[in-house]
Amino acid sequence: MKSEEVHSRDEYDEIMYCLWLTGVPSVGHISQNKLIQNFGSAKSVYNAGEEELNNANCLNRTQVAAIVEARDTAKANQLIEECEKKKIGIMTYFDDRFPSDMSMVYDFPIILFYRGNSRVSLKGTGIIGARRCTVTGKETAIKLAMESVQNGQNVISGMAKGIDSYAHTAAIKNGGYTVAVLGCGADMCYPAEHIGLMESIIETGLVLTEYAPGSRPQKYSFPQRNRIIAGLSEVLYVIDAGRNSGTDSTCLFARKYERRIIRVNDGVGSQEAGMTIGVNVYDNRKTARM
Amino acid sequence: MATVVKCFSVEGIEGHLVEIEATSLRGQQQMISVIGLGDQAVREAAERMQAAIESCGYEIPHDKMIISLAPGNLRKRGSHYDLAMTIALLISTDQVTVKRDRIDNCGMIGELSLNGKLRPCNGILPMTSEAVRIGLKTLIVPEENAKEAKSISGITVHGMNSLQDVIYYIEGRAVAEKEKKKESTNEDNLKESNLAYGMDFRDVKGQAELVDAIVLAAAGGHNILMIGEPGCGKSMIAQRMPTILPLMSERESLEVTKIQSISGLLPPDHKIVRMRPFRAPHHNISLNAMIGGGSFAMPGEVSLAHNGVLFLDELAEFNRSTLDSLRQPMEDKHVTISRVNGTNCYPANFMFVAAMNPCPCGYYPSSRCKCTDYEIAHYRSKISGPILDRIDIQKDVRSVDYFDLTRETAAPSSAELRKRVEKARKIQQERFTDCEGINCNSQMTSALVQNYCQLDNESTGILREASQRNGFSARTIHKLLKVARTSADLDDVENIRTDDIKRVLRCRDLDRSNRNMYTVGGEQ
Repeated sequence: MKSEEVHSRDEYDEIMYCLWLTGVPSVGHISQNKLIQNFGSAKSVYNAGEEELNNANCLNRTQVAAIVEARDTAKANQLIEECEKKKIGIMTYFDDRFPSDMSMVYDFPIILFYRGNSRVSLKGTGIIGARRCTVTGKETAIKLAMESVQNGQNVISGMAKGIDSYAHTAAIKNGGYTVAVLGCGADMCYPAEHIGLMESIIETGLVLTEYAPGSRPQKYSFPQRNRIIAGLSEVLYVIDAGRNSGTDSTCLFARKYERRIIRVNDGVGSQEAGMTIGVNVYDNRKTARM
Repeated sequence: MATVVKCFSVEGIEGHLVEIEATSLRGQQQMISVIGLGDQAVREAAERMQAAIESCGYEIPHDKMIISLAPGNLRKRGSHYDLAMTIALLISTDQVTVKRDRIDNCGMIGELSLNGKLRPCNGILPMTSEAVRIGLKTLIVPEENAKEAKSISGITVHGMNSLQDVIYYIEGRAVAEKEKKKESTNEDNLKESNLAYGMDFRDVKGQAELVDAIVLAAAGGHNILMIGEPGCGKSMIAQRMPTILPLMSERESLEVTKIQSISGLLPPDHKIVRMRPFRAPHHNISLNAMIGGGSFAMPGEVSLAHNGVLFLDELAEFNRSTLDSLRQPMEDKHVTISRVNGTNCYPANFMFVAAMNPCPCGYYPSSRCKCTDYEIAHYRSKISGPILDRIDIQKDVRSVDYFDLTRETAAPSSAELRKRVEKARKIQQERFTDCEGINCNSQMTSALVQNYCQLDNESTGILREASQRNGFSARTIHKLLKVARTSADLDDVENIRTDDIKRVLRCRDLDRSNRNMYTVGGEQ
């Protein structure tokens, strides 16, 4: 968190206990959310006895044992210190800025790390797509981002190569607010050539991640961060994405969260019905698997 | 009194006289002691000498022998002292009676094999130069090095095969007569040039615009960067650069040959180098190999390319620190290398030619390229600003269609292009006769640019418009003016024309391409 921001004792505690909870082994996102719903706060989870945890009816025996075993906040405190040093902010599920209707979403993270200028309303238009995109795809992404900025919408994307980077760039160049959701800690840049872009985003927008500082990008972390992109997006534009591509997983989450998805492949959408109204294509196979 | 035999050491690209004396001390244990700050090779010379002396039927004295290489404070390295040391030893032990006129004004260079044969050595040319400078009359070198030594006039060079031949010669016996017949005059050697390079610009087809830019670069001494996809002919064109550069003057040839001589790059039986060197180091080259180094500071690629072309293919793949180390030699035209064992200064006046792909995959801007703009910007940012600043001409190389190539009519030959280049260079030399250290347009100072690069109103208008559109810096405009001056010189016109400005504006392809990148932050 930024040094000038003053957290009340309660807020600090909740941040610390949330960090502690995310660090408990074998307790996943779903269990974390259930626990907080049951006990009201992460602090209560920390203070709950073994019997209470068992009675909550949302954990198995291993998980209860893990929680009882892991009751130590030293690591969480360390993490908070590290974030302060690296100027990384932390927001928890009860923070005003925390994307509110997401706390209802049962697998959403309970805590987010951020760098940049946070706002109360982070939601906006999601623009995602292929890393190796076509020239048309690039132009589409830029136009969509520009339009979103003109309509006062935030531009949400994943700071990946290709479409993502163009969406962010267009938002910044047109003076808009853009949110980049990372698949690694907020203190590193992946891919490396986006360091300039990342700095610009931090200057005018927000870099958001569920991963603690120092977490390197992993194969699984990108599909994970995609659910945050989906959650933040009121409308999701998917550009140049092939079947089974990484962006498909974002669509999957977007469907789950009941977002509007517009696919634009090879500029088809732009040709048929103007730039912003694309073709709604749902991959039935994927939908069925949900 | 001990007889002095003359040999030479090489420091940088200059030779220095080394006087070798030998003496024997009676009543001490038998050994050969070599003094005078020699390296391992000089110390091992004692063993080679003993074997060679035995095999020629002479005797190793049973006393302590001291062989001194003077001056004693100068470090000496290499095996070429063997011959002079052996002769000094044989004379001091009275096994050889010399004719004074054969030894007094004679230098001796050569390594000995165990059976008394003479083996070739490096650095013959700078040593010969020094011999001429201090006024020696004759020089004895191994047969393989004779032609190299003979490329310098003013001294009689004897190429010899064995220690025995040398002894016969200094004793004044018949063998020397046989040698004399072999001698050819030094002047003939100079004329015999190795111009046969086997490459010609006639082979470069379908690249008229690029060849035009190359001629422009060669005529004004401008550095050039070629950007193009793999296989479009960048390296092919660069290899042909030396064929259109003006012929080297005798002084330049000697400089180049000296550098190659001390680096051991001259093949045996080689004469003076007449072709401008073309050096194309691979991109994994280390900083020391590029600039020069080693504990005894040998010349690096920048010096080997002296008076010629240094071509860096795949410029973006070079180590950044290696590239940045080029900044100083590109500016000063020489490098100074300091090591514990001394400081050497090598010339490094080269024309810098570089080639790179436009993007990591190599195919931008064709549809085959799938690189993102950030990747491309990152790739290009590997070449630091100061290096790019020293490159006047950046030219796109378009790929050519092979089947069109076969139909293409003949392209201009190297000889034709060289004529144009030489004409333009001559104009420049006349222009800068009063300016110390400036030979060509690329070296003009800002005052000279003001003086010689006046534009008419129309040209100024074009330049201003292009500058506003592209955001040229003052330095870039200066560069453009210099190239425009060369362009006018090529056509032998007094003032820079509008056509020159237009031509020059077509030589900033990388700038133009960089502006099309859709990125924020970083160096953009």
